[in-house]
Amino acid sequence: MSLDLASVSKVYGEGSRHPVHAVRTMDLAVGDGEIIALLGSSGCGKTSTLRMIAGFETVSSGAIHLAGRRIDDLPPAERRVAMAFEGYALYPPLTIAENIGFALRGDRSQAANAPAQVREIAELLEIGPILSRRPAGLSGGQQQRASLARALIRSADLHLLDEPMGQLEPQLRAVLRGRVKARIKERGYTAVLVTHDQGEANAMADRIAVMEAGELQQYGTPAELRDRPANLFVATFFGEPPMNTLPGIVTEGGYDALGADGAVALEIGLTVPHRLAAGRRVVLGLRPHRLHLGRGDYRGVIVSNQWLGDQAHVAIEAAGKMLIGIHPERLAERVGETVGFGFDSGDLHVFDAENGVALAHGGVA
Amino acid sequence: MNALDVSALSVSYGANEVLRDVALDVRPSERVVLFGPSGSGKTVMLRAIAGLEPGAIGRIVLAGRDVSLEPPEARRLGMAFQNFALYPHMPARENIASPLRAQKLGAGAIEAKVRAVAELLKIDHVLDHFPRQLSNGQKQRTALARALVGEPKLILFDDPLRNVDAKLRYEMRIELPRLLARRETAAIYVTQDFREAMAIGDRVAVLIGGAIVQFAPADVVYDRPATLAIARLFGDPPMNLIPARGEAHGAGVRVHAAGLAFGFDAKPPEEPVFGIRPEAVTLSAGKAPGRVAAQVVAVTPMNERYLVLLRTDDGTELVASHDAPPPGADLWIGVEPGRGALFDAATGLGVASSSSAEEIAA
Repeated sequence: MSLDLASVSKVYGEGSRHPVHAVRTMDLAVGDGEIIALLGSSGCGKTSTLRMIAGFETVSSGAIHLAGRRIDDLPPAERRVAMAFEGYALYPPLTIAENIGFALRGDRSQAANAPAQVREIAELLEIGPILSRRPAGLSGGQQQRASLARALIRSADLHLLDEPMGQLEPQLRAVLRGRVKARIKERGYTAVLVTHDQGEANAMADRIAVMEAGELQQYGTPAELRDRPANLFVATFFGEPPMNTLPGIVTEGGYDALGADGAVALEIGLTVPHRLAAGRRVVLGLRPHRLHLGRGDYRGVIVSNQWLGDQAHVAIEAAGKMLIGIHPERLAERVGETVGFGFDSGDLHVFDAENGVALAHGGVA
Repeated sequence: MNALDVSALSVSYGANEVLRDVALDVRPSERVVLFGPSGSGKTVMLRAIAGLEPGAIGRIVLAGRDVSLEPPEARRLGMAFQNFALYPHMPARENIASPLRAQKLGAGAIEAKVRAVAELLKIDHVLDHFPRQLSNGQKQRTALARALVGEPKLILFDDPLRNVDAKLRYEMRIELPRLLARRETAAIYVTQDFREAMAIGDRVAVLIGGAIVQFAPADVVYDRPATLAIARLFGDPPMNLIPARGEAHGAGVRVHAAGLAFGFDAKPPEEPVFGIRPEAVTLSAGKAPGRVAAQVVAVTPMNERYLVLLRTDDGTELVASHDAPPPGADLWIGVEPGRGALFDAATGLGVASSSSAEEIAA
């Protein structure tokens, strides 16, 4: 069901001399059947947001609606939200099967075939063999999967999943992420994931809300965050390895990237003129995956050339800076050799040097 | 002369044999990665080389000098541990100089060495700062400077980037090999992250259950893992491992997996398992010989690649990894020629590698 946060704020110590604004006037709309991720580092406000949606924390101002119903003044149990949480622990005296089945207890229509449903979700999450065991003595990854099974077995207006797969064994990660995503989509669940791991957000979410310092920085599809980051924070936070950035200046015909000494290090011409005033200070950005190696108008010296099995990560020194490029095949050039490089001006990002706001994507404002 | 030769090294805690008859050599200026799951004995091995495992049995030769019976301080190794911990009550300069204090050097000589390594690591402007005044990156460089300052021929790194944020970890992955190369320093580097292993290691020694099960250049471990256990651990996503059927076919074996058939130059394994890397699973919209029908279960992007979970008609699940989205929901899948691997689940060993594989139409 659809979820809507309207101007939601959370202030701790309101009225005290040093109130802490954990979340500032956040607007967030999640469509019915959509999976979104709240992504940010610790202290960004994502957990406070989650706790307000769950009902573990009051809303300082603003309103939360779920399925058209205002829920921010309801107790947690009446919000029709299924949760998998760190610290929302499994019941120690119950077996894993009982823990998972417990979620169906209030639901007569589902209770009849509960054992079959428990078995099915347990197999999906590869915890079939531990169903008769109790939580104590299981690995963190197994407990996390049991907790996820307990949330996914039942239908609810919203599924709220806090770092749901952070402890997943790497060998299982790709397969289980795929299965869980397919399950959520099949059932038409609406899900909010909270995570500090952009890999998890990128893998699972239709849209990602990037938070920092209590503020929503950008809310968009992974492709939008990658290709049209709203500001320098999002640009360098989202994407691995991070975006290459260079100080620059706007020229009549394009941009100049400046070296460490302030001299022009790269001249970047554009075929379509931009509308920025010449002389303006900017930061130029280019994603490593969009830096072409072995061809192009520029020259750099290779400082590192690492083959990672399915791609090469190459560091070059150019414009007095180290730039990273990803090459789909092995690159023959060795460390110390000069290599040509380039990029499509369509892949260039331009940010205001003062406040980091994106001025142009594709170089043309 | 090798920087290090370890032979017949064993360590036991009571009846528990933590390392079993391990041999390892590190060439001059070489970076050897010790890769393995937690509890496999990696840290114990580093400690034994450093002289910190009193119960260790075996021979440890550093740059031609047998140090098996020497105390840790006489071995003159550099060491850096998880999180690059620093002494909080000492400024960066003193932290860096600490390994030199045991040596009989004058204050001027110490200062010169500290300066030189600090300049190399671009922290010469913060030498008077205490750890709490340093950024995370500067802390890491300070600890690295401390490991390098005594100009050891070999440095031991115990998973130093484990709890470091992604940006710094990436920077160090590129910078550390450069620094070691410039100082002509050999290194043993412990990690559980296969990308770090490939980025940093000239060779990778895979340690599982106290024994080295493969010791080879990083790309060889990736392309031809010696055992099923290595295939499961070395890769993210790891190699697809599909239970298979096999029958003798001419001088080799024909293996059937996921509705496809493959030829290998090997005897039929008892319990064949077919292995294929996700990037070697090909996806197409159209039927063709050597392809089998599969449905897309889900797409879970990873950086700029698309990981596709697929299910074939016989229920086999496999993961494909490509730089474009899959061309539909119902696909025909195949494998790149020469990329398959064959294992025997009965022994856990690799039986035949990609080079001998010959694909046969299903």
